[in-house]
Amino acid sequence: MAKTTTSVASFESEFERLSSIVERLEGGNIPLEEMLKLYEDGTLLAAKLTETLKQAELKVRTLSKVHEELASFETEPFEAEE
Amino acid sequence: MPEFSEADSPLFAVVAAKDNVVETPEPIQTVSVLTKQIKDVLESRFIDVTVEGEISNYTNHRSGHRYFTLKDSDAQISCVFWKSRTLSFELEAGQKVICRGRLSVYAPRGTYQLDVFQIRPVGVGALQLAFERLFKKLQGEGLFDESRKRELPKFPNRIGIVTSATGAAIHDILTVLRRRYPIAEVLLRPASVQGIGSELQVAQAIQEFNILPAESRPDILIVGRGGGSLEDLWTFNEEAVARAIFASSIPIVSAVGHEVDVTIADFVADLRAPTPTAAAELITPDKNELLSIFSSSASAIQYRIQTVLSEYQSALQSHRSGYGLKYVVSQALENCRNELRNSSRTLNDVLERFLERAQFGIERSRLTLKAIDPKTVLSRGYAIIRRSDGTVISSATDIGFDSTFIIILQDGEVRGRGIELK
Repeated sequence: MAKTTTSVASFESEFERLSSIVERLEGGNIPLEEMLKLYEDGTLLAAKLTETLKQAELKVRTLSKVHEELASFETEPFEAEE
Repeated sequence: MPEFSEADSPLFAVVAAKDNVVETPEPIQTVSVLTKQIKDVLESRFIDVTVEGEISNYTNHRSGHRYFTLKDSDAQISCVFWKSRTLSFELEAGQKVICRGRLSVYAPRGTYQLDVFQIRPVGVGALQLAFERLFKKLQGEGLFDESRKRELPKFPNRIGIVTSATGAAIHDILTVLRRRYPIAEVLLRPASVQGIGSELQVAQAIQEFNILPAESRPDILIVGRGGGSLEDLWTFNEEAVARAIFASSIPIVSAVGHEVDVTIADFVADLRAPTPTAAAELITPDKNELLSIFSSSASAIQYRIQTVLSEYQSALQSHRSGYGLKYVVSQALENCRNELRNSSRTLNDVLERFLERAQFGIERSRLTLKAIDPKTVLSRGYAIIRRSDGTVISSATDIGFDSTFIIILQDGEVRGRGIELK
């Protein structure tokens, strides 16, 4: 669970990074070295984000029990559909 | 079993039983013990009942407790509604209500009554009255204030849903999320969303989401249900739900019924969605839009790089050909020379065309030069290398061993010497 959390959270931050790369490049006046780095990063990010979104499958779970004292909870797969 | 009349004393019954050995009578009990047994039976059997009836003998006691009788044409039952319970509308005799409670036996008087924990009015008129009353109360307390509405996350990581696990709402919501934003995680907390008492389930579900460990807590909640009658949707007009939404630290989108249905929950929520489907749409970015943003970003980056590279290229070319202008003029001159040689046009005619052409060329190169200010190019990390006589060096082989050259950078010039050809 913790693993997927990171991947979803990073989707947003990577999307923001891509936007800022495009903005930076369009702003112009960038040293050559930085420009090449931005180009490389931006192209990779766009491809990665596209792939992540295309591959994604909605994860649905049911919250079955919450233990307040233990700060923990239980879930089970959601199967009520069709 | 022998039958005793009311006049028969217990003592007599026991004596009679002793004479008549076949029968095994109940042992003698005290009133308290018997009542205790009755109490145990009734209270464990009727621990949570829902009953509809008409209010009569209503007393709003000074203590704050309310006493009344619930009746229909053939029977009646005493009811008590303790001061500590919340009631969001006023009771009155003759009013039809649905009560939920448990039976309790009051031993000192040998009576039983319904200890009511929830009352819901029956009938559209009564419901509307209750709605208005609660609306005013909560509005007065600031539960609907715009200033407390929170911003919703643009990219929800985890979406919590409070609704029935078997209703239309969950199906509609999941369908939209799969299509629009499958990257999210959904955590459903099933709750009954109809009938008296369901408001407590909904309220509890909201509270439970809020006490989850931070790293597993949803960053947005959808609370709602599909369409239904005013009575069906009433859960979302209950004070308990309104208070739970208000207390939630997680932003909440309400999604109750259809477009036309407006509930108290809608006013407290951070965002009101007209339907469950709309709620799912409102809180997520669209997959196809995102994909097109990614692809246009990639193209923008490509385009930008290509433009810059060709700027460098033409800037270099301009330098190599002695700042372009001379080149343009000599090209035009060369053309004229050829034309003069090959045609029968008059000198005047040709000269005129030469001027035209040169002017056009000059204009064009002026524009290009303006667009590619060499200084801009230099500031990006390029350098120009010239021989001492000022001509530009564009090939490594043009620099001989130990020969000197001038490196022009954005902020000055440096003299260099060839040491090694790599």
